[in-house]
Amino acid sequence: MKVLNEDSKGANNGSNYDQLQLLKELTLFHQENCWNFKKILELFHISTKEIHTLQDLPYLPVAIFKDHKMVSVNEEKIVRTLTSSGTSGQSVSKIYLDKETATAQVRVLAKLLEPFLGSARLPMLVLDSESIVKRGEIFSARAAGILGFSIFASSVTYALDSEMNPNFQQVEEFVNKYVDQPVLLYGFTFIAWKQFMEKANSEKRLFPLKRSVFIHGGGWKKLQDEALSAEDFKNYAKAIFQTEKVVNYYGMAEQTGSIFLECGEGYFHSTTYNNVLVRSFQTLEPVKYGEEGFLQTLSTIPRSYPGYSLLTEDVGIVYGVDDCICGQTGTYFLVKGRIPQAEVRGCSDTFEQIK
Amino acid sequence: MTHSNRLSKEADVKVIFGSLEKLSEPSRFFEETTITFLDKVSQSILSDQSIREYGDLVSFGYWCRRSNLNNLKLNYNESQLRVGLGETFHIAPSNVPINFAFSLAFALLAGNTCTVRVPTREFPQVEKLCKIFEIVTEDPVLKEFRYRIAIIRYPHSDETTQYFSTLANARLIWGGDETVQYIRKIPSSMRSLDLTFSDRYSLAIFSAKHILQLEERELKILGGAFYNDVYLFDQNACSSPRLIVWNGEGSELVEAQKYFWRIVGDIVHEKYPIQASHTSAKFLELCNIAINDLPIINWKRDENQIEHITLKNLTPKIIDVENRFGMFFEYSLTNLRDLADLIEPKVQTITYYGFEKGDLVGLVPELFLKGVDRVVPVGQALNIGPIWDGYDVPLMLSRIIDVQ
Repeated sequence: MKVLNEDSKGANNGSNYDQLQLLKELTLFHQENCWNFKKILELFHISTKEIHTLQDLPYLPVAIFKDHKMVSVNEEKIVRTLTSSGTSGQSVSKIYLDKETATAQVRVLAKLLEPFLGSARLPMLVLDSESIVKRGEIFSARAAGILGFSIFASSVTYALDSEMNPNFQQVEEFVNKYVDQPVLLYGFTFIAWKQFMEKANSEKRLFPLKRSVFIHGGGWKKLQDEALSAEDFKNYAKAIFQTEKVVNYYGMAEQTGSIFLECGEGYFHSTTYNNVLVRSFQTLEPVKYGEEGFLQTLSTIPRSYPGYSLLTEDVGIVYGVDDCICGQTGTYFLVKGRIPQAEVRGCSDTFEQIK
Repeated sequence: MTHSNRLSKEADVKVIFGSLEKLSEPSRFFEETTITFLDKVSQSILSDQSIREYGDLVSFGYWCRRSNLNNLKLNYNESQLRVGLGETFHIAPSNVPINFAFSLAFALLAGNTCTVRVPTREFPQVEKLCKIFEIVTEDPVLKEFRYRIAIIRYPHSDETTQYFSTLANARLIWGGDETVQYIRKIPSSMRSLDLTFSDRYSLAIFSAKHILQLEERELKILGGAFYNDVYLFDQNACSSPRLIVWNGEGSELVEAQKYFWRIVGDIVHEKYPIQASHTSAKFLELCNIAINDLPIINWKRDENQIEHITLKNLTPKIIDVENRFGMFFEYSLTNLRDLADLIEPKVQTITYYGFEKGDLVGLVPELFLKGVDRVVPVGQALNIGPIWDGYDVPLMLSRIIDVQ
């Protein structure tokens, strides 16, 4: 797949020196500005002077954003708060954005998507409901995704009504209008599947948008429960929208803007703006290429909150840097789902088990 | 208030052993037939080769031997006329397979009939024990236990729980704070008593000097005992130590700690496979500890992923920390009286090594009036007995008929 143009080639170097410098600076910045972050560095005896490689960077557990307010700017500078989707009634992560970080997220997202979408604004069909983005100051990760992508749109059409049911008529109108034009399809993987594609498929409905690019991400934890593989999803998407360009991305609410897009070979790639490492399930030490472990994500964007280096609860495998057969540079990797939750023994039941 | 005094047809109650139709009369405290029943159960457990692998079931088997039960009986005043309260309803914890058997045995010995809700998750220990009950009660003399006991399983249902609650003269609620709170909201009968087993905190105390006096072979035995106290239930049992208090100072202290953790580390390495979810939970909890401003001098991670957090001083704040899967607060002192800073009602068990029982007994009136229900040697943290959480359970589940 030839999706990268000449301009972006130089931007894709997963192991570059500038990235390390930026991430080191971010470490210092958050150490000085986020009291909670500083305390964590102290506990783990982390000296910012001893960071020589990406592996030396400190990292935070993603769940820390659920229990604590993690913020590195003055309260009055916060312009937006993002919340994670918070499945199964658990507490949600909160991400605080100031203007600078919010702008950087949009700028980086634009850079990442340019190879796929070009620089012109395209009509966009969102496989979600508009109601999700109309909820005031606090945005869900889903809303943030939609809003983030919609800045590349000349117009935005929603495929689901406020009850999350497909509005097939509206989608057909969209198809009739743009049948031969390049358009952007966007959706949260699980929502796109469960609320739209599954129904379209069972009713044998087709929406031929031959020049569309379908970008989707997130929500695959639930897709696993549906026993739908990434490949199945892609095949259904190609069939329903009759497009060859279906691109998956990996990214978290905690690092919005800094997403990892899939290449033609099916691997996620890092860019100048982000990177990943894999750490041992037992020791948290970095593992070799090809070995499974906790995925650690790095991003040069977050300044208003210390989410630039996170230990996720996702299982990842890094296969290498700059030598993916797709020709694209960067660290290339796969995500294998969530870490298994071992049964915990002991006398105290958890509330979930009672209810 | 509405009463559901019938079990609705939809109630999805599965009786694994016994009957929901109970004998209406309690029996006498530690009655001979009850002891015989439990002793027969003990014999079946101990003679069954297929049970060998279930250490918890085997220890239950040892515990309910006639000789042991007769010994227990000696602790009670025989001149009183004591009988069971009547019907008891037991809610067993979901993650300790054999707990239900002890709960049942204490209530039976007190003279009660018992309805025991076992976890919805099927443990082989539960199935095996119920099969043994079935066989033992084929004996005509013991057949009545089919009408004294009902081991049941049902999916969570307020209505069903209320049904069994209204029939009961006592409820035994295991499973920690959340379960206790939840079940308590469901009303029981007027004269009913709730014995609740909420979340507790436990610690171990070691004498550095005495650890150093041990030969490696001896320390391996002690380390194995400590391993059982901590790791058999992922350091998540109420009585598993989460704080280690060292009595000692200087190089003696440092050497003793090094020696002890080296041996324990080897055992952990051999027996306790580390799961990804453990690693991630421990890492998160360490970050929480850092943020929550606990008085910490140092943190250290061993090769075997044992996490050590050295405390500057003792504070009840550590009781709220969820350190599990091999994560220890450590504190050193030279006078056990400093433990006073920690002792709260929530503190349950102190396991010890290197102290004389007499010295510890001496501390009780000074230090342990506010908390601490058990002080036992290392290796006995998980040994449940009729005295638990400070209650004499059979005594609580019985009444005296006062004839003057």
